[in-house]
Amino acid sequence: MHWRFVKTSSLSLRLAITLGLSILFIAATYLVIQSIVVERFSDLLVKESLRGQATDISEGIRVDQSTGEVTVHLDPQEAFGFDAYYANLQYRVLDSKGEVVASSVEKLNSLLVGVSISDQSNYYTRKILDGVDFHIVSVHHEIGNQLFTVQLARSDGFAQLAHQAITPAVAETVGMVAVVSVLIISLMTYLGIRSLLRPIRDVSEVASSMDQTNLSERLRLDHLPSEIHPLIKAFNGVLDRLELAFSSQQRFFSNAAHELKTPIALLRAQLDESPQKTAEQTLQYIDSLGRTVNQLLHLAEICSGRMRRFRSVAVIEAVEEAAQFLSWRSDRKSVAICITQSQSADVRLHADPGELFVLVKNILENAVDFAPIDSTIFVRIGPDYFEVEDQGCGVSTEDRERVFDRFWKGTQTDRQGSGLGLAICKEIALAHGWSISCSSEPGKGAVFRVTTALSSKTSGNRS
Amino acid sequence: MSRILLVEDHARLAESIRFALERDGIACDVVSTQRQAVAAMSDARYAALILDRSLPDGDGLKLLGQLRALRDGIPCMILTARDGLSDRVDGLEAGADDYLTKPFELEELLARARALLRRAQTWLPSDVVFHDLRIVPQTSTMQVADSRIVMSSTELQILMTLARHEGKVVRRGTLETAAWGLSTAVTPKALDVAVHRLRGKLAALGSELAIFNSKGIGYALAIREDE
Repeated sequence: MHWRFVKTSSLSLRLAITLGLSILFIAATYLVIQSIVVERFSDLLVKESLRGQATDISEGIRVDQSTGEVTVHLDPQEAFGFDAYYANLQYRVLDSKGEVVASSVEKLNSLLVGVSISDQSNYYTRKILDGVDFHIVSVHHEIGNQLFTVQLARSDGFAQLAHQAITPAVAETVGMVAVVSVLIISLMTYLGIRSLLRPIRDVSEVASSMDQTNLSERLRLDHLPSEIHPLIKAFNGVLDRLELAFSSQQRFFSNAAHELKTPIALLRAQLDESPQKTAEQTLQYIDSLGRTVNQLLHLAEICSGRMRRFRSVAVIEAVEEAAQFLSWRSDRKSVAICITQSQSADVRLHADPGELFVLVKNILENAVDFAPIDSTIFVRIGPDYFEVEDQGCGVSTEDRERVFDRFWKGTQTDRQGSGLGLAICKEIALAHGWSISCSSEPGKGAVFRVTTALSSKTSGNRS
Repeated sequence: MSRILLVEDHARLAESIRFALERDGIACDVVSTQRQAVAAMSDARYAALILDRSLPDGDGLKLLGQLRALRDGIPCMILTARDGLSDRVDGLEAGADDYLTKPFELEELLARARALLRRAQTWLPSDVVFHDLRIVPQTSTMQVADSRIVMSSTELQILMTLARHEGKVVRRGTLETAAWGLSTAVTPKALDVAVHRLRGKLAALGSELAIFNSKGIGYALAIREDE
């Protein structure tokens, strides 16, 4: 529902206003219906009210057992009506023969001359009596074995008079009651909702005081309306994930700092020892530093949820490009990179070309690093996978999962790598909905395989 | 002598690159802005362009884009500290032939610069097929059946020359000229090293061909005799 007529965002004010408007609407409806009823169905109303009065009278009929005399006992207020307005309000009680046995006035004529008693069991008519317009009803009433007929006449003018006197009063009362109800309900709603919302305000204060220093705090559900619980739980879920991500970031930072400090320390030591002879070693350390910084940037970029530009990429082109890019290093070791595509068909992936290149390049770079001099690296491209096989020292069973961990370098601490290359590969594979695995026969080389079957047909837009 | 235009605003880096290139026999002019680069290129003819991306007057890719729009096919290598995941793709898509990130080894820069110059000189010939071996200059690969291996442009030239001679011995001098041209100084061992790598690559492909040494004269590409 849209609240175009209620411009406030306060829940309590809105509710109060809505309730107030509803009450006013109900009051107005009541008045409208009443006036319609009075206009259209006044006869019906008159008939019903007369019938009720006639029943009252019939219940007041008493028959004296000894004399057979019939009297009518009315409560004083009613009796007063008949006495005071005798010209406009009259009744007759007739016996089964049609004789008037009791009357509100001295007259003893039937008010319904010409209507048989049997027809008067539930009768209504309008009639001019002595020049006055009367509504007349009659009802039957049995006492013992005796059947009595009660006739009641009330003038129209009298009814109208009563209406004129009562209707404004009714309208006024309804109006007053409506206004007072609106005020009371508005106030109650406002107060009720305010107290209902107080715990939410408290929770908001706690939430707004949160930052990276107290990420372990959680919002509490006590006293909160149950409708709000899902929101609070969702917020706490966000906090859980944030805390996890934040702590892994912290760990990552300290690892990264350590990785950068180690070659710096080595550089210093080298230069301290023999400033003249160490140029080559120094360059190696600097290269390692540069590589680590580049890899850190790549990893940061991948993990920051960058916008990926997916498009259809031929795997063989990415592999050739990476092989070309690395040929400068592979040629130095005389390592041949042999690329085989199992079918003549073009294997294409829906991927971010930049990331696919980095993925292939990192795996290949790793293979070139580990490949012995004069060996061959085999790259095989299948319809739903590609893999890189080197003839290096292989990866032991217990290390096969850890090779994808950040900063994991195995036992060869003298290697130039940053320990981030394969971690980056894993992130890229995950982001594309692929999987990456390592199999190896220690001493006979390792195979790194990227399986793309899962999402080569779908968009791979998981992140 | 080939001339390279280096667009790099970092004076000391530019100077050391120029020094390394000239030591290698490649002449090099240095400018520091795109505007100067445009002026320099209208004055002289350059064989290749080495372009830094972050220049005082904007991204170097802009200049490359303008050149390519004018159908100027000058070989171009991008040199940059920007190594975001898309930067390489952006560079290649803007028409760069190679992309090198800072920091780099000067040796690597030289190797890539030489490859760049060779690209400028050689018009790409069509594929050469000899027995089970197909040589594709377009991608600088050698192929046997479903497998292929990437070669450096030196290796490509040597293998093409050998294949064209269809098993006959080719003189060392001919091969050296094909691989390095006349202008560049070549160490005597360079050819042997390249041939060594080519042998490894042919073997890795499982080709029926091998390179034979004809002592003192040269090399020949012929069917391997089963040991």
